[in-house]
Amino acid sequence: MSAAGGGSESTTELPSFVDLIPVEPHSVFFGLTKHEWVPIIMSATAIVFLALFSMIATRRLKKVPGGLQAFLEIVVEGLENFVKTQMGRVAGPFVPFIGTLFIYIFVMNMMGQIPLFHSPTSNFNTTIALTLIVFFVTHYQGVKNCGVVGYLKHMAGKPIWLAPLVFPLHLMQELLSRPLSLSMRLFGNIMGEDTIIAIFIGLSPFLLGFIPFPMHLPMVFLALLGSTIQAMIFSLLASFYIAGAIGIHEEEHH
Amino acid sequence: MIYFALLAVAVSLIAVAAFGCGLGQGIAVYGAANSMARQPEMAGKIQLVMFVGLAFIESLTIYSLMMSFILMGKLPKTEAVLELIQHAVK
Repeated sequence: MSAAGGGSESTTELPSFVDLIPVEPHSVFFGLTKHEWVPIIMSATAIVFLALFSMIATRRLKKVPGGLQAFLEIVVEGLENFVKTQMGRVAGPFVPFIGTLFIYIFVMNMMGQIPLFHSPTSNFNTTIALTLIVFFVTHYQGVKNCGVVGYLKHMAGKPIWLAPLVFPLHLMQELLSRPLSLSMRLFGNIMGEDTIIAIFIGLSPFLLGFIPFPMHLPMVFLALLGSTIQAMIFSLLASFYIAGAIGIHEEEHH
Repeated sequence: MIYFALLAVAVSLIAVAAFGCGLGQGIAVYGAANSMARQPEMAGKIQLVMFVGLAFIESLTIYSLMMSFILMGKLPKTEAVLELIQHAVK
């Protein structure tokens, strides 16, 4: 139940189904060991599951929806409201992007609670990848909507004579603190939940010697709540940053 | 040896971060509960804002929990330390 077989780092984690594949533990496939392939395989599983589920659920859409279609319509409408609250008039093209971010991160976070699965978001690489996507979308949309000069003026702040103070601050914020905090928030929360559950499972006693006692149950509730909230916060902040780059927030105040 | 002793002390000293988190979250919930009592019809929106604020404050403490997990991974295993002590005694 330690870093199942690898042993190079000693972060406590539960084993996953990839550890059941009969391959020697230190063999290298395309430059990554078997333990390092686990988040990629789990991400791919989440993507395949979501794709198959969407394709099956949207076959033969009816005007008066049956059960599954009605549930999915509630989800999509909720996401659309969520994005419109943040982004106002430019929300249209971004509803699929922010909605996909939310559903994908939610499924990835929840995968850790299924036995023999492992959350890809409990690995820093996955969250940095998601953050990089949001980073590039933010700056591309900012430059596309305001032009390069307009975007630099927007980063220089409102009273233009304060620019030597405000511009380096904004630059540091956009380049360093925002991407780092966005990725570390998701990574820290999910890895913390998974590690605490693994530690509690290791500590839980056996009643009468053979009945296992689930001492990690309160931590599982915390993990379920935290996973949902972190998925929502990631997509909320992503839409907030994109709206900020396009300039929606200044429009509202004037 | 002193290095590992100080590392062990550092791992447990990081828990002081929970102090600031408790204060911050208490102030956030205080503000939320006050405004929900003044305007019960806005309770849904205020609850949403409260949850978002709580998650931000909590993530700061979770950064320090991560630090302590990472440092805990650098501590040596018990068997290695006992072997070292036995060699030193002889």
